[in-house]
Amino acid sequence: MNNIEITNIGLVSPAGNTPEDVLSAAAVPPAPAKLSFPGRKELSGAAGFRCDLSEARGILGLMKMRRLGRLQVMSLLAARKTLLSAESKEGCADTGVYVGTGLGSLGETAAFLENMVEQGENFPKPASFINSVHNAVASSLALEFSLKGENITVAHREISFDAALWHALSGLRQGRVKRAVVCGADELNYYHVLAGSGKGLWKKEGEPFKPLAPENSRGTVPGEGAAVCVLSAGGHTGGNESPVKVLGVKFGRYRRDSSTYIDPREAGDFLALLMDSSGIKAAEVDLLLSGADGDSGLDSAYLGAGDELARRAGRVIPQGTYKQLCGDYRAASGFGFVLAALILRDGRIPAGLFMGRGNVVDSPVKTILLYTISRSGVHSGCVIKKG
Amino acid sequence: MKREVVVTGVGIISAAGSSAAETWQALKAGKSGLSPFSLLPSARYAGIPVGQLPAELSSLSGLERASRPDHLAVIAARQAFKQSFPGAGLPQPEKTGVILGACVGGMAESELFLQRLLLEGVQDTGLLRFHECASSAEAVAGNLGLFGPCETISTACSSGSNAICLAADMILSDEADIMFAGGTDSLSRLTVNGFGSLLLIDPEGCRPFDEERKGMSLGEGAAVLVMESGESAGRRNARVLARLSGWANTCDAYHATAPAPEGDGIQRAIRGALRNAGLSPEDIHYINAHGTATVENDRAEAAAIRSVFGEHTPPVSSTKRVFGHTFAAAGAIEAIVCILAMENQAIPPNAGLHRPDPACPVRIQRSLESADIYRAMSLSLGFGGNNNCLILESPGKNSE
Repeated sequence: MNNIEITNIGLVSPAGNTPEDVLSAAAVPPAPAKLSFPGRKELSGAAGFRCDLSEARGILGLMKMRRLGRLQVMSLLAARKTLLSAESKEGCADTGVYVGTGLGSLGETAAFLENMVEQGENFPKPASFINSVHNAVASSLALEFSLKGENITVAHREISFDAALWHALSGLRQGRVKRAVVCGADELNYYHVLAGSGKGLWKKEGEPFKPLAPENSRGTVPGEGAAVCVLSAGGHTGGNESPVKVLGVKFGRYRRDSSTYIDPREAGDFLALLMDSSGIKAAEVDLLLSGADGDSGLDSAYLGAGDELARRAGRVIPQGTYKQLCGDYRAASGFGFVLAALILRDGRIPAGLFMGRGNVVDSPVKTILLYTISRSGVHSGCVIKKG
Repeated sequence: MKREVVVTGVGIISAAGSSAAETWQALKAGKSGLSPFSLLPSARYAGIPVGQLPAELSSLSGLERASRPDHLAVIAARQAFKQSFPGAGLPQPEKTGVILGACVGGMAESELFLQRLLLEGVQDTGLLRFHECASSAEAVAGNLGLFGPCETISTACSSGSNAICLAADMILSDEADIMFAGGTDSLSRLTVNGFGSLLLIDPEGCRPFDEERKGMSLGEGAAVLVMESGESAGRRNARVLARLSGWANTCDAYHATAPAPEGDGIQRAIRGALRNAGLSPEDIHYINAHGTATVENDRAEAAAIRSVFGEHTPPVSSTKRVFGHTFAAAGAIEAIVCILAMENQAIPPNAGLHRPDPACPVRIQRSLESADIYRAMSLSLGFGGNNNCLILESPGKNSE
């Protein structure tokens, strides 16, 4: 059943918190900013992408800002932008919540542990413990909007959002829910940046950040964000405009090689299965939107996958990227997904998505294939289409 | 005709034993697996009763470098594999996947990282390599050579049972033929201090549904089920241990930690699972309750059971005193308890019960009892009002 529509989207991202802001940024991507964490030892040379949450207090209120962690605030704010509202006191038992988050509320976990270590277990912070569970975002969304259907959180690295999307689609297709709220969220936290610095994961401040660019070196740039979409089965509510539909999602584990992340042929086989289950052919894909993160090693895996897709399609398929807008974070494919929906609504591919190959297309875009490779050996993808 | 999902292998490790057989012995005897907390240093909680395993697990798992939940998950998965595939390999690794529930991940190492950083100024980021709870599912997939879907569900204490539901969904959607599904978690200072800070730990050990209960006992462990379609099991002549005939997940949308007092969300999960299975309440012969032994949990759960099943509820027992509350592993462990109860045609007792709480008006099973059990229900609840209900059926008799 390929009639799952994206009815609403909302996001909080380093590229802006409205669709207009994000599309503008996508035309000319901003540079990463120097990262500073008040009260923390300075991390020399660290740059990244952070969200502006200054509007959160006015929208969510002071109480929630005090009670909730950064990840919950970002996610609730993004969800508010989808125009979700608590529809009745009884709640909505046929709306499910599906969240993908790789690291969960890292800031709250760190706050609880720091306190535990420094205070010798004497003055614990129960609120931080409550917020530290990975499903804190999913339960906050359910509470905020009184959503009583399925409530699932996937916490699996870079495929977290796509796997959550798979379960949402299944819930809709099997009729377990009539509406699905799908969220991908992760926060940029001091310890995450510190850990990455220790492992040499980040590019140095001032170093170009252009995913898929031939001159790329090793490393990426940390980021954060929350992207929310509301899906429903059929029942198009978008007026005269053609709906944007989710045709299929897939995720799995690939065979790792010590020198490459994934053999291009295996990536090609995976994408072929995804397209087959989505009812499209490779030649129909107008844009491959990938999670390439500017690291030369991972970029080469994405380029190999793109070349293999082109070989099977019999033509070059433009490969755009999105992490130059939001930075690298586990659930970033949620941002990519919402960006893809915006592009399909807008009908044009922003030039700033092509940091590497410069192959901007002029023809209208109707079908986007999203693809994500995780360094841990899992990969995922989905297909969305307008009309 | 509705396709069926069956269980063809189980693996389990907990403070109650390192195999299904040992686990059943402990369950039969109502034997508590709790012992004084000594696994991790804790000035405040040393000695509280917990369900803990030996500190060294690598000799059992065969993994050299892994987090504690990874070791536990691989041990359980190997047992399940051995039972389901005796002397044979996987038929199609690309169509075989793994979904595990996990909450804690390599938290013990992360705690050590912070302690060394904050107290000694030493920055050993290598300790964070297993921080993410995703590593356990990947360890199982890597160890068994699985190349199908691989993911981690983290819905707090209902993670393991949600993983089982979602695995069934993947099988019915033809995304996979066979799924290794379950949960794993270890003790950590975060969880001990966290539940302690909420005043939810009973210093005398948990006493589910008891009038004087004061909270939970924490534990650690892993349980993995091999699940597949009936056709897949038939093709390879696998022995079917149970059918997963119904399941449902709901959310209370009531409070971040406390369950809705009348168990509204739990009721909906039970009714949803019964509907999914095409069964009536009277078809259920045993309920393994989440039964954490917190005042609110047990009351809400009992209210929900009573609301669906009426005055004459099936026998109910919580087995948390046997294992401790093993978080993400709990739902999978208790699904296996249901399978063992059906295999052995006996209802495991509610260990730790002295005087049933009249505010929990359900039929609590006080001692081991032989009974005709062909359909068992397992309930799991988690933070955020996350509710799960599984219904398992014995393949041995198509009973009425």
